[in-house]
Amino acid sequence: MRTLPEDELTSEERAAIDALPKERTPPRAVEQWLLRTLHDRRILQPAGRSMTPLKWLGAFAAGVLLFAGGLSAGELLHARADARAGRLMSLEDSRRLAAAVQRTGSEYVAAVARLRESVEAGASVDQLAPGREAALAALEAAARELLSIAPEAGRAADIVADVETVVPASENDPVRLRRVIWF
Amino acid sequence: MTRFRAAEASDRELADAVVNGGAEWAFRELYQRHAGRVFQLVVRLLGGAEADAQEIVQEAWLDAAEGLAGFRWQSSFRTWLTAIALNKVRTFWRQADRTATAPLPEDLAATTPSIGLRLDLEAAIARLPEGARAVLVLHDIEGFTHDEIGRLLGIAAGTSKSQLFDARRRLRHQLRPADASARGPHPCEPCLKTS
Repeated sequence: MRTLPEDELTSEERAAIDALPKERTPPRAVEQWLLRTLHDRRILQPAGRSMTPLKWLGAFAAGVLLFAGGLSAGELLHARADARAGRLMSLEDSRRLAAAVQRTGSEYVAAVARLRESVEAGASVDQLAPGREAALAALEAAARELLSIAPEAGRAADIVADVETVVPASENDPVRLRRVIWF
Repeated sequence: MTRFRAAEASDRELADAVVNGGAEWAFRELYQRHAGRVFQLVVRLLGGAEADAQEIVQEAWLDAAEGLAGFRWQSSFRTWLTAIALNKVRTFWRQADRTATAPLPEDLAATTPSIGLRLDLEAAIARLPEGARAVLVLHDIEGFTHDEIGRLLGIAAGTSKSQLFDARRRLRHQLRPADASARGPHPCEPCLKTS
């Protein structure tokens, strides 16, 4: 650098330069234009929407809670639906089984009535055998249906056991026939 | 960081908030810190053409915001922003093909002595050739070193020093008392036409 007498500022010159303004506020329109343009170009996000790490953490936690809440609600609704469906199925089964018991019971009563009519009409033992078999089958069916509803029903279990062990009736065994009929 | 702590944040922290989160509050804080200084610089370099300075400053800030992610922080934000603005000013000078023009009357100091020294000095600076004006403003007013000016303007540090020497000499010539100017043209008058 050249060293000349004019090269350094005098104190007066320095003071004059230091007195010059260092800043000048731009018109407000400059900042507004900038913010608008930067938003349009997606360099800036709207005020208050910027995501700091803390906000990200909060948003993540809220997301987890929302997910967990949704999952729990879904599980609860699913469980309730299962229980309701189970109750409905159980109720339906009970109704169906009760109807079956009622139907087989009626069939047994009808078979016994027909057998009694045959006995009163003086039918022979051989003639009574089919009616006896029908009444016995109806009784067994009714007992089994009852057991399906109430496995603890001891009398129904006894009926089934007796029917399974009963020897085919013969004309020499009217007592057994009567016992079966009156059971 | 929240906007309530923005005033305490460094330029880099604010820039990170802009880059990573598009934080408007951070950009506003950066703008508030540096807009006045860079606007005054550009207005002064343009010889008081404030409307042109507004456009240049807008474009400079826009480039800065878009380039923040790539800024390596090897200089201060202010220096980086100043460099961007200076590039805009030099482009403006080339496009306008202007040579030391200023919207000021001839020999303001001599004809209107009642105006204070500050206005005289501003007018004299505005009438300097662009290159000399840029170096004088950056060195004597903005406080940059010759090395920094060399990097900002893309010239050698020695060139910056010689430009500063020339600028000061021209200023002194313009600001000399009216009776001195009446003695005749400055011996360096022809060089006023060059930049």
